[in-house]
Amino acid sequence: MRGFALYMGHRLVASVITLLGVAFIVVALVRLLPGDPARVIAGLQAGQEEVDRIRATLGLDRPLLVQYGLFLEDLVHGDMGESARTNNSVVSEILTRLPFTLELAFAGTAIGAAVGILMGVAAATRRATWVDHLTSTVAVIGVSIPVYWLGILLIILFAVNLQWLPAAGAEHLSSLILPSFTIGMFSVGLVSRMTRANLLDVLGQDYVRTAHAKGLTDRFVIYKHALRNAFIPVLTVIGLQFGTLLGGAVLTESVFAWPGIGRLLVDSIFARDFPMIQGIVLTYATMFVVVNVITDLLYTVVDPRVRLYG
Amino acid sequence: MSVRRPWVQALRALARNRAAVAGIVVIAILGFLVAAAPLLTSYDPMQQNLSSALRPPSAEHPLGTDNLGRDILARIMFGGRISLLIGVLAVSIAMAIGVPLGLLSGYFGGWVDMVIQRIADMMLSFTTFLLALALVAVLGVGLRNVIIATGVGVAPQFIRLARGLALSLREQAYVEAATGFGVSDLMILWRHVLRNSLTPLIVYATLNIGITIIVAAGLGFLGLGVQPPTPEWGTMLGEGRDYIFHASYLATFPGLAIFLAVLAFNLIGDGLRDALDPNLRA
Repeated sequence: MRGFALYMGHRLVASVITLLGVAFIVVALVRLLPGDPARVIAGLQAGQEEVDRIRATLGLDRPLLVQYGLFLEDLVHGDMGESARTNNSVVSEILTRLPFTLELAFAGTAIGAAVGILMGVAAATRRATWVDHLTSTVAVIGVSIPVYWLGILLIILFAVNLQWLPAAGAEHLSSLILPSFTIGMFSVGLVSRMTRANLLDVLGQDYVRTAHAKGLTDRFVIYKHALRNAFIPVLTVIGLQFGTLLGGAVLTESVFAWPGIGRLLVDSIFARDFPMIQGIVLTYATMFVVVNVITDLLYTVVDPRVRLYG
Repeated sequence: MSVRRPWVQALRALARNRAAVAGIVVIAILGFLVAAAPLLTSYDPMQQNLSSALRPPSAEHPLGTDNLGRDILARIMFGGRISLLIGVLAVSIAMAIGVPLGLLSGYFGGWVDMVIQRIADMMLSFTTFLLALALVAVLGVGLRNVIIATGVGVAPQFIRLARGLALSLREQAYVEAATGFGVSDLMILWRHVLRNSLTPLIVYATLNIGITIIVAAGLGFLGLGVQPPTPEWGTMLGEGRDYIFHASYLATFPGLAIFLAVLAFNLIGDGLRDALDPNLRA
């Protein structure tokens, strides 16, 4: 148990360093803006006074490290500044929109994991049959199809032609179906490949043969013994996948006019609203890092034999 | 007397892989359409003709016309030059950044490794698409910046891969022997580590061309990529989405082009991986 605590301690320290680095990049990026960053953020119509005010509030008139220090100090107090567009607090705008993004990400992950695992099991247990070929075809399509095109195709089919589901917005529960399926499709490909490969591996092991010899049914052996052990690497893929999914969420939210932080980010980029861009990018990176730590934790819970720590 | 040449064997294995062959055929066809575009179509991809706007596919316009009356097939063929160019150049940038950093990280270990890995961690925690998006937000839109942003976005993947390769190769006897002969570290990295890493790097590069095409076209789709009127698949798809209710072909065909190109590169990448190095199988 001490080893585990030590490992998680290292892991947490590394995560904090990563996030501090991300925050630094986020602060420094603004300085890469061509010309006078304060002028760019304020807009061409703004008066000199407004430009100076923005320069001062963002700390652009100070050395980069001081600006970074000020940013971190505010961050500790839960303050990421005000939107250059609406003057609302960046934190409160992100918190209003974040639940939508999380809802979409979790629904997408759930669909990706459920469909992917089922397909992987079907392919592994019916190896080299048409089921196996079909699932591997679906898998490669899943990782190759751009989410924004898949989303548009689904809208054309289910919203425009069949008129079964809404094309955009987040008013009803049915609005969640198309976007979460769109975003989950990529994971379906990866998860089913991983499940198939691991299950085939596990099915060749001694204890599975023993279970069969005891007269247990195929279904029982697969679901009680094999899948459980094949699940661990799959879990990692699902966890690591979450990051890609968040990136894809930016595009998916744009396709379906979903009111999450991804769409807010795109709107903010068009409006050159840098405090908001900084806040959202930092939020995304934090979610990514936290999910990775949680994945590591679950890893050891699901399989006590896994000792990531020395 | 035939010498067992690994590349010849790999190509034979690749030729037996039907999916990979299909991928090669698709890329060959796309490459031909794109390269020979001026010979294959008489339409100017930029020339507007409002009197023939939003025409559905016909003999005259096989894939229809867009909202400004431009021939969609011509735009897809010319747009492919840009989209495929971005894919190849962005992967080259990603490799140019990622491979040296990764090799140094894995070969030297210690604090060099620690610093480079923290940098890679930071880049990875942005995730590929968001890193590219954030860079475009700062650098601005346009072809050059899209290539840079996409390349940097994919770079950390190559840092990770190259590091792993260097870690295992530095334990090899011939590297130890070279060290023993007093060959300099940089020479060893160049002559032994890099050369022996080429196979997995080529596989990974092929698989990543698909990802970079998706990322770059995604920027275009959002309106943050290559700017109109220049034809680019993602930008065309983004412009076409406004017409999905009555002229869905504006969006479906450019998207199909992206999908086919990415699918083909992924099939070739998978095939190369199986043929060259079965151990790489994820």
